[in-house]
Amino acid sequence: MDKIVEKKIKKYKNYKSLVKFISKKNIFQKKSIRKIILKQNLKYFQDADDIAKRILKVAKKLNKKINLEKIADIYLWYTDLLKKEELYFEKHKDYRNKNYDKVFKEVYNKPSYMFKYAIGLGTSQLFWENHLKVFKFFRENLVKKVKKNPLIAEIGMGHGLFTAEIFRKQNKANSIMIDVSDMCLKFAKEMSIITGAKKSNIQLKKDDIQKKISIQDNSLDVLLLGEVIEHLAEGKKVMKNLSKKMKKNGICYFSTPANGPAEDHILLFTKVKQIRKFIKDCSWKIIKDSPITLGDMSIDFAEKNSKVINYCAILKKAK
Amino acid sequence: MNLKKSQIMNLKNKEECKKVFSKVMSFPIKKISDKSSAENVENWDSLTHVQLVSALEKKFKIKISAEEGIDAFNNFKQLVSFVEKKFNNKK
Repeated sequence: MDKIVEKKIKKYKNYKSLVKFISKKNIFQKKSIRKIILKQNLKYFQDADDIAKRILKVAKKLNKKINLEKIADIYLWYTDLLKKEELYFEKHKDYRNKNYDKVFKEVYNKPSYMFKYAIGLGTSQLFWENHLKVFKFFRENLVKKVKKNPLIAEIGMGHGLFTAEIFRKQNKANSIMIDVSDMCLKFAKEMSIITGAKKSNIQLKKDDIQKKISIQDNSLDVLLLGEVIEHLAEGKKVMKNLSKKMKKNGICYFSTPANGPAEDHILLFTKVKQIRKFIKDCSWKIIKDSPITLGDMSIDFAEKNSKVINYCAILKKAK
Repeated sequence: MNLKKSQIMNLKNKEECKKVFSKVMSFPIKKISDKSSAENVENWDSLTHVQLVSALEKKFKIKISAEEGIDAFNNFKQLVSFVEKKFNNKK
């Protein structure tokens, strides 16, 4: 780490250690994290240190041997995994996997793999420009608008940082957490609890939402559907069924990538207009949306050159 | 100096590698050395690395697997010998 970076992060113990370990082990990550650090303000560092601390706490609760160096190693394992998929996508302009059952067997059904997956993805929330922008969109357009004592559901929990963010503001919220992985359910539950939720306000449901959705019709004030649809073989059917679960004025946070390869992504979008059409075809209306690219890349350039676009939106069910 | 045919080919490939590298990394061709690496080439990051692998495949009509592409080379010298090996195996 150079002096400028060191000076900016010295107060933030967990974050600093994590950056140190990652930077020592991987030059690409060292460079991209440096760029992120130089652009950020005080609020980012406070949040980032808090997220790093919470990821460590949750991970330690589930596996006592975890420390920040191991989190750094897991993050680097996760970035390597994605880089392999990016290389495949660059060549084939398609995702490697097409079959949900295969992905389930190789990824979601392996607890130790999903433990690393939740940590890797959670840590990317600190360092990836697009993930930072998506989280900002989520906070400003959903978290700020959540009313008192809501019933919220999140599908595909991963690290659980998104639901936890609502609990930080509304600790009396009731939450239904749905995932196909027991490990992610555990991880997300702990994440919410250490962010202020009561155990009794959290229900865990291990559902494959393509077969069953354990939520009553017309019951949800808030639905979080971030980075889920691209993992499904039957995304359209799920999306339509989910709209029935919303109260009349319920709000849904939705995100999905275009051209965003990962080993467990199946449904490929290549253009923003495809995603918008998909949403509308599934009985939802778009209240606000934001397609996010890397750096200063235009949407047009990203679409023409198959570069990743992180699309995020606030939806309501169509009448 | 008399160079063998294979040596001439290697030199030619190295020059081609330089051209590809320079274009992807927006890095002056004259400044490329065996020691050029992500440490000293500003634009060599994980995104441009993916582009570099893909550009080398196209230029030399070689196949680089995703696993190889990640860490087969960390500097320009390794890049050239990796390409040479692939290129010669192709024949």
